[in-house]
Amino acid sequence: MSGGATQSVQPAPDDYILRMEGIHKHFGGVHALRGVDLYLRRGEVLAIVGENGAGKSTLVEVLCGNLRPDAGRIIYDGRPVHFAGAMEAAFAGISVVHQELSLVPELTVAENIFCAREPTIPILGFVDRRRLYREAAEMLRRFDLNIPPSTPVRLLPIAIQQMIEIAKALSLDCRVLVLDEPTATLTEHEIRYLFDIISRLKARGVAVIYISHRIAEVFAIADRIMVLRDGEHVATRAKGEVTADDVVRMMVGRPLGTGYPQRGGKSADVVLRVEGLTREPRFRNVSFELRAGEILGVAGLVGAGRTEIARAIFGIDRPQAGSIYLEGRKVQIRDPGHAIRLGIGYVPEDRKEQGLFLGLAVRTNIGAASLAANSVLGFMSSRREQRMAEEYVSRLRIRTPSVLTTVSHLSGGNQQKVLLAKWLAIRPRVLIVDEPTRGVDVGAKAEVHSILRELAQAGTAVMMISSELPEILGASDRILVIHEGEVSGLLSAEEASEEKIMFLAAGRGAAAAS
Amino acid sequence: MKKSTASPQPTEPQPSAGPPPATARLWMANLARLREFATFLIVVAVILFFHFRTLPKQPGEPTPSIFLSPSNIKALLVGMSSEALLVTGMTIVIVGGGFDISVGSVLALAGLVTVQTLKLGLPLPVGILCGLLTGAACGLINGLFIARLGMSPLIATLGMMMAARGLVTVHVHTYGAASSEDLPASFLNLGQAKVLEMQGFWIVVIALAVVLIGDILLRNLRWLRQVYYIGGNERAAALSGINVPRVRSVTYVLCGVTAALAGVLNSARFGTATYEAGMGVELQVIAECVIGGASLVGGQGTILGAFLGVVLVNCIKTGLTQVGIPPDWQYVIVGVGLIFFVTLDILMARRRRG
Repeated sequence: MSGGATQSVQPAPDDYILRMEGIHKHFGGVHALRGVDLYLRRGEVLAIVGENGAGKSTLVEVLCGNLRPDAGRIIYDGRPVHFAGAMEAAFAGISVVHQELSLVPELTVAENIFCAREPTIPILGFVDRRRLYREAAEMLRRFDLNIPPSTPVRLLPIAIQQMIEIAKALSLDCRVLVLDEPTATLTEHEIRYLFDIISRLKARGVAVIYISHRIAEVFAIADRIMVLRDGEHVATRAKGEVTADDVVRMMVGRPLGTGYPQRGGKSADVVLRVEGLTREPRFRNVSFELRAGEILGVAGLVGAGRTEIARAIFGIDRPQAGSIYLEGRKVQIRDPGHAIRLGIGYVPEDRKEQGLFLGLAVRTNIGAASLAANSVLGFMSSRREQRMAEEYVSRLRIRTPSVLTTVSHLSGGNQQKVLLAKWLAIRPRVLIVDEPTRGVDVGAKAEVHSILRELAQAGTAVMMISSELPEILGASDRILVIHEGEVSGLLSAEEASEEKIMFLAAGRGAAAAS
Repeated sequence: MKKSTASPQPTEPQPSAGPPPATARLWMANLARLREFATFLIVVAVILFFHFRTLPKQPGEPTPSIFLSPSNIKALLVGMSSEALLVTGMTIVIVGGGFDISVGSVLALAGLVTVQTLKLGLPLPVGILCGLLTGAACGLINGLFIARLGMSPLIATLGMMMAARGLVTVHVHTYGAASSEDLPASFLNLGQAKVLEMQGFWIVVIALAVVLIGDILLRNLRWLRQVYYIGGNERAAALSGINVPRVRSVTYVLCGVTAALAGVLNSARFGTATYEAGMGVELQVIAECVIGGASLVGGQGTILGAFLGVVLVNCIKTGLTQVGIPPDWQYVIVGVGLIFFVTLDILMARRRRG
């Protein structure tokens, strides 16, 4: 299984701008990369796909020099290289744009692009601001970006910030651009813009390594697709040689089926009813029902106000108007603790900042909202904690060496499962999940969805906020669409389609879709 | 049950280090205990070092080393008691992600309040209670500014440190320090009674009891478990239903009360309340907590570990004096020791992350 890339034709060596051969990397007892080879041609887009923990990020870290490989070599532009770190690699022409952008929010666009390389006035060494802004404006023009270079970066939307990172890479004359999960926080429109930029880069001879979980996108943009699994290079194929199913099968080593579990039966009792919920300026007059045993998908553009609605239901923010009825009884939810006692759970979209205790153990995380249940007469019972943790680790198939492992050591998908376990442990009547599979690989994603479906079948009402249309369509029984803080439509699973949802999300009305 | 590494498909290759046996895994992964054990070993090493360095010149003499002589051990125990009480409260605050540099001043203020109350002729329990309430009040004020208003712990407890010390100074300069004649014998007995040849026996007993009970409670009490969550990730703790401001305030109150208790016992021991009582002790206390495994970002640390830190620092300071190193050098060595321990912590964490 390990060994050379399986390709249809072996081009001459100098057609490759980059070759990584026989890369091995160990972390303690874990063999993260096992003899991985990577061949990148000039001006091509090579996609790297694989589950979390497959080794994609590790490979990139080895490439740019942040990690030293235990074995193997890197040949860049015909010469063996060894970079001391990302900065040195960037100066040599290999730039990496991570999912967590590395811009300084307080500084301006120009200062970020020319970070550490600002043009200076000779002799004095002061920064030459006029040249700085002029050269930055020039770069922005090339990207069709109409923003003043003196804008502080934090005022710009994420998609634009990402463009600025790419501009920064290009200003370093990059020949290899690595994009790590670039579309996780982008809307469809912004993704098209990004792909346009990538095509232009290709035309200029820049090679792009595109790492992503999203198979559909990968097929849209890549020339060749490289599959990693458990640290091994499974295969590299040209786009025309494989189907998406083939790729997924190579990634997980098992066929995945349709991807989403069977939907539930028809309507049951209303568990949660929201009427006229308002909290200006984010949302107003929101009304909907949530029934036991169903998954209600909540769709909308990024920034439509869906998370804010969830926060109001969970008691984080106080609504200005409107009422919430839980099983027919009107409730005033004072704070998250109160919501939890009422049986409402909320899995936030930013699991690292808001959901997980990264420095604490798996067991401690799973029990975080169940302290009362796991204690006897006011004293924590480590036996109960242990039992709870083991139950959920096995039920959710969380891959961890032990329940005492620190959560920061787990992969993104398993961290998300730990977070879900915490909320499942409170046996919620209503569970709100916000972007449940963001940053989660294909295999774990399917598991998350089957967990949610099982939960619904057991009687919980699930409200699933998601910006991924296939996910909304595949997993929901009904779909609520929010546009700029207002409910713009409610569709059943049968009548819904991507176009209808998009139109409703954009505020054009379902009738506008065919 | 140990199927946490089980995967649905049998074809998936296992990581090269197979899952270790159950009991070993539980032991290995319990990093807090490992950390305390490491500190404990270093304490033993230091004690042995000073023991051998202070052995009497003539071999064959029946007397033990100066360091491990009964009188020195007793002096060490009594001397450590104040700090032992202080680290108990301080650990709780640090685990919650904060710290409190006002403890030395609260110690002095509480001692003064108790002494003055007793001078007025009020019974002993009332006097002690007033002292403890003073500490609780100071802690509550700290807690309000830090937890409710959101003020930085450094600024809030700095202000308290200066204000409380100032109050003590004003009083002592106006009315002079109290003298033992004004104080009831029961009070002085508390601090000076000689039991088992140890003067200040009850101080040691109380301090050790507080440390022991405190450690058990912090590890096991459900209400105090919330402190670890707050220190680990404040936002996530709030979203998990924990009342962060309330729990945080209480940690500062507890810290104030332990500082007050130290102050009360201190006054009992010396029969007076001076204005420089506990001056400068706060930073050493924080250092001892960190040496014992606490992290200033929160979420980590135990009272037992902090106590070992107290033992270590006091042994080093006493031992150095006894081998002839001037007192000024003690600060240098304690400072270097602190950096050494924290460096070890950082390197170990880095190794674990690979």
